[in-house]
Amino acid sequence: MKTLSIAIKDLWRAFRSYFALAFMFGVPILMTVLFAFLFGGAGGDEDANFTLPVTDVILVNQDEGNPYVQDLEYGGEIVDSLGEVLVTILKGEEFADIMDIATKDSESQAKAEVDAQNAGLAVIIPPDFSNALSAQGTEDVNIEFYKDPDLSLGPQIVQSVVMGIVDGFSSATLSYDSIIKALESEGVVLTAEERMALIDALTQVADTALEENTADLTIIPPADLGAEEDQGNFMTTLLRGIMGGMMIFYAFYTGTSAAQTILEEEENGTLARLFISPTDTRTILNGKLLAGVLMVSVQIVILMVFSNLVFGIHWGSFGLLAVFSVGLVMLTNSFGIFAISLAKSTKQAGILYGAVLTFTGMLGISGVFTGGTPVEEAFRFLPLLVPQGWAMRTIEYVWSANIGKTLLFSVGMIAWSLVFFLIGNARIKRRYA
Amino acid sequence: MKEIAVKTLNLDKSFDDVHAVNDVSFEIHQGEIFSLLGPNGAGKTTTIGMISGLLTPDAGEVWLLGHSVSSEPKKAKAALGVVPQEIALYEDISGRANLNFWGKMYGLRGNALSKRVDEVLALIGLEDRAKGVVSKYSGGMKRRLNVGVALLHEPQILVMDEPTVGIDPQSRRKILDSVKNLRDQGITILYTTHYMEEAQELSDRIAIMDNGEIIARGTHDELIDIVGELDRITLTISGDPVKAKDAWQEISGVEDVFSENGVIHLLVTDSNRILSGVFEAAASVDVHINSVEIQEPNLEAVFLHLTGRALRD
Repeated sequence: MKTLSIAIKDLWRAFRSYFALAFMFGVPILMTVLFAFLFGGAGGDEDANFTLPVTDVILVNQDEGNPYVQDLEYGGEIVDSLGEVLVTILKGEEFADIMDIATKDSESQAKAEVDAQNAGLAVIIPPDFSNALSAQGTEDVNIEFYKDPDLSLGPQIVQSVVMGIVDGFSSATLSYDSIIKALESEGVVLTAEERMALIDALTQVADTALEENTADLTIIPPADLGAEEDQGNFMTTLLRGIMGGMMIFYAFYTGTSAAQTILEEEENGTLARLFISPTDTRTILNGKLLAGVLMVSVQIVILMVFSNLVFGIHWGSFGLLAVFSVGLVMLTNSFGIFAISLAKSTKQAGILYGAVLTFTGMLGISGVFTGGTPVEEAFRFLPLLVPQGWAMRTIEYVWSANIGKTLLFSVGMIAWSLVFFLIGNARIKRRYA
Repeated sequence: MKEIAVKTLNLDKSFDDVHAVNDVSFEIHQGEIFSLLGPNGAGKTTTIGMISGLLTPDAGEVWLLGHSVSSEPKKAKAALGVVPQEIALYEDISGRANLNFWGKMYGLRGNALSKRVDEVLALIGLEDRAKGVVSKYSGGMKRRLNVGVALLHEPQILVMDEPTVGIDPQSRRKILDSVKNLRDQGITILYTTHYMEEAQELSDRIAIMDNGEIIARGTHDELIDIVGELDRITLTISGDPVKAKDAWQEISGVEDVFSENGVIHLLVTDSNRILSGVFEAAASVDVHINSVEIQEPNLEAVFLHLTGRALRD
């Protein structure tokens, strides 16, 4: 009962503090709202009116064509290669909101435009584009994307669009090739008109695939996560990443803040008064720990529920989310105990707030902001040097419904927790023995 | 003979190179106000820390109502209420919330807790401000609440560590009166102070501490007897102090002459009768008296007599 009384008292005091409330709920929500407005809309439902940033794109079409793709009518124009089809599609009105297309004759010219930051992305269509698609599918299609390193979102979207279209081509051309070969094996040779009709039909299939692919675009696809995103909406996926990162970032502040009340009470004399009362040290420290557990739990639940209701963010299956939440609660509080055990005063603890938590927090959630940039690969692994990175990776696996890796990384979080708790608890007990 | 409420035996405590408490032993009887009087740094708070179980003695033992603080801490602490020197309250919640919380820490629950909180609020005169946040209280109100927290569980022993430091005379008077009231209710009180007047007014018995040791103990009268009920004449002079001291030593009724921090002290049997002779003797050796202070025997004089230093130094 005394443990609970101490926890409730700490909880009550925390929820009366504007500063604590701001860090627990205000700032994470504000950051997410800011990003929501930054990208053009705050709503998260399926029909959200989201405005993507318009990216200046330079296209270089080096495609030399293919015997099967000659004098093909596409979009009211006669084209001789799939490269031309790709250029025509990208110039279409449906993409005008996300890319502004210009063409160049050479690769070097296009790259120079990107280097000069006149364009955000150069798309180099190789000479064997049509041949490669007709023969092998997309695996050997080497479209080069040359990106402005200062931009991540726009080029990433365009890159996804292009690859989506190429996937559509692949299915169409493979079908065409297979059909022609099958007919020839039966001794049937199509006339030029018949071939054109077949291409038209397969192009319709490609267009349909394109529409499906563009609807499924995601800004930060977890490259090796395996499962598909459970929700297709780009906006909610974006906001989910940001809110997830913010939630983890600030949950660590809450855990540390809860543990810091030990130092505050020591300086205010109330800790000594607790020790004088017939309440043993273990009960007092357990009460403090329970307060932290409750605070972080409340923070996680409120942020998830709020972002679900307001932004339409879907956090994944309840079971995996529960596993992640337990891990996060344990990790944040044990980290708090560890951090506070290293500080002798609230002043020193303040430095921990300002420096260590900010640095480790930013590193831990850096993957949210480095997707599609040249440092993306490095930031797949660097965040795992800090506990926040393990929490971020775990929630990403929750989102992709990867049960195995969610459990694996949750075990990792718990392992971090045990190390932090054992060291921190031993130091604090020794201090107050 | 009343039973012993508090007993300390050979308490010893050091912090690094500082020997804070050295072989301190005393007993306090039930219903008694026992004061530890001494200057800052004398070891009073350290002694209280060991009595309340906050500090572990390097040597020695403490018993509260017969329960050892080291081997039966919960039973011993349950009998004890402590008013710390610094205000130890949660300033961001209300006075009532503070009392509720601390009551729970002493095992009070439900209706018993609510009833006791109301009683304590009435006792410390904070019923009207009970719902107010403590940070908005005056210094005196915080001091009273600080005392109230220690009274919640109706302790049989109350330890008060310099409870009147830094407060206005009116609040100080309220606290001193409440201490006497608590004694009248049968509560045993251990009171520490460096104010001689408080110890003199409140205490049944007094122990004088200096440099971690008890250098004298007894009732007020017993302690005064140490200086032999002599009056003290304190003088500041211009001229040769050695000649002045020699001249004053010759006066009949002057028992002792010594100097401290630039002033000269005369311990005399009857200051009124001797004073004129003091001036005459000074004039005879060309010494000019700048100021004179006459002090009848008190605890300050006892401390000065025992240590050669003033209590407030």
